[in-house]
Amino acid sequence: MTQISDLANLVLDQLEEERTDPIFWNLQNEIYPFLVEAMNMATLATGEPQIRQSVPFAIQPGSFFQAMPPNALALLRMDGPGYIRKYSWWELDKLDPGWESYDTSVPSTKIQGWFPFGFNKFGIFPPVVGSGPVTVYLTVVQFPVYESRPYTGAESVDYQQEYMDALVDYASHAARIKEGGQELLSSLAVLDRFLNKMEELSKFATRKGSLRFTKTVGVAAKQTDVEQR
Amino acid sequence: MGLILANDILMDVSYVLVSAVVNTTNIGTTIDGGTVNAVTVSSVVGMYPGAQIVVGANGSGTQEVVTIATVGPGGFTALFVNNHPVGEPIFGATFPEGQPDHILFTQAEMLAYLVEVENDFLLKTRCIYNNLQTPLTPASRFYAQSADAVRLERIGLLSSVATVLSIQEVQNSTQTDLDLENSLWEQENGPPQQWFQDQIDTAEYGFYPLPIQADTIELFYSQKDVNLTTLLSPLLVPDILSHYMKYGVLARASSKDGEQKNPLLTEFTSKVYDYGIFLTQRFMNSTDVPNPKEAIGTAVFQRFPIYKQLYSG
Repeated sequence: MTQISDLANLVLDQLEEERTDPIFWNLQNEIYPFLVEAMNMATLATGEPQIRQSVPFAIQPGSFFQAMPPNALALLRMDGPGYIRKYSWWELDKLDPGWESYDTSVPSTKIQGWFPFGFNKFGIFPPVVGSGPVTVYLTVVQFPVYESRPYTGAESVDYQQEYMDALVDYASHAARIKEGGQELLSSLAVLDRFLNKMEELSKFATRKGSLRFTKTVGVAAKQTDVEQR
Repeated sequence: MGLILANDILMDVSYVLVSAVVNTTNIGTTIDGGTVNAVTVSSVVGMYPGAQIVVGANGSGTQEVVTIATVGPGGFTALFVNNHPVGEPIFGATFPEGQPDHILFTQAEMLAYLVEVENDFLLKTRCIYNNLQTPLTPASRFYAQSADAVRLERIGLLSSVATVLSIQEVQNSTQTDLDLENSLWEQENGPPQQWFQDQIDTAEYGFYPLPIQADTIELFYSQKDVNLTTLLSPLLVPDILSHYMKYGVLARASSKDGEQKNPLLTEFTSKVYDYGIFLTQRFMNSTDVPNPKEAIGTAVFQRFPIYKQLYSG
């Protein structure tokens, strides 16, 4: 697996810096973060990487709301056992105004649906009642890197090989912001290359599964002016 | 909460501004907590009396912010709360240029920029939500929003019959609508059926009919960061978005009067910051993360024209 330290050398080459002992840029505190920044931007632009988490997620009993896994930006799919349908809370209010009702004395481990709730939480219904952990598998758009600073260089790059030059392009552009002036302006051509590659990655991601950014299904409700604001 | 701290962002900002940062190691003796220590370090670059620096690695339980009392050629003195072994990192964005009498930036100023930027980002994207249950006060119609609320998104009313718990949505309305429907609505009492925020004080909400018992309501609201107060405060925005905070701070720092004024940097970083908001909104819309009644968007990434404008200009 490629690490950001591997790509850092290529960034330093583009900046005409020494690979072993760069002078104008700090390898650990500038070049590595620029590469992570490149991956973050690629994730925001394309929705990649999507990961079905290998460790089952334990649903907290007695609550509709669950904290997102700390390294996940958005929840795409939930299963376990079987596909668990995605809703929105607005949709649930329209479809079933009593969706937030449940009997606390009746054991319940069957999750009927889930809904997004910001980047930090998601909801399930009905809540789990009773003993025993209920676990599900989550498929998420995952942070490319989830580590404390400073980065070590051993952070892996979870993109296909043909997109890695784009990450180098972005990092070398971001580095030149520090130089300012003409160097910054001329680096916009490099940024343009990165953006072109992101368009390609986005098309590829859409080809893999055009429904990866799924819209919820349900009622086609007309909104009031107040709801629309 | 993420792993990226306020100090990480301000150090990123320092590097772009070519401002010296503290990035050194304790090479002397063990630091004792609860007292003033003289600390020997490998470099005193970026240090000055009054500067706040971070001692200890990110993620360690004893990491703390200390304020430098004095600086000498080989080290500094400061009051410590925690013990620290030899070899621990010492770092921080101190913005030392011009100290003590021709200061370009202060740490407090830069931290304030970061608070502004993060809350501006949270306002424009509303990407972090919270849910909160709170009791109503009988015979009280108006309530203040939670201090960390950007905007109320939904209110539900809790009720319980025996072992069955239930939360029913309270409809969002306006006083204007209520006036037109029933001019005497303010005389009615009972469990809340509608809530409104128009024609009342800032950051308040009210109910119709007037609550007469201590019911509990559930609030859904988009959240802002009220805890970003020190160099070690984590950001409320997810780590993956944290670099846009850097660009927002740079836009503010480079647009202030003085030697550091840099219109090109201001223009460029402002556009990158705006682009971050655009990308985040688009991502949220594509994954149904925002308030769902407002969701719009397309799945395929397209370039935002700002880069083109700057490039061609």
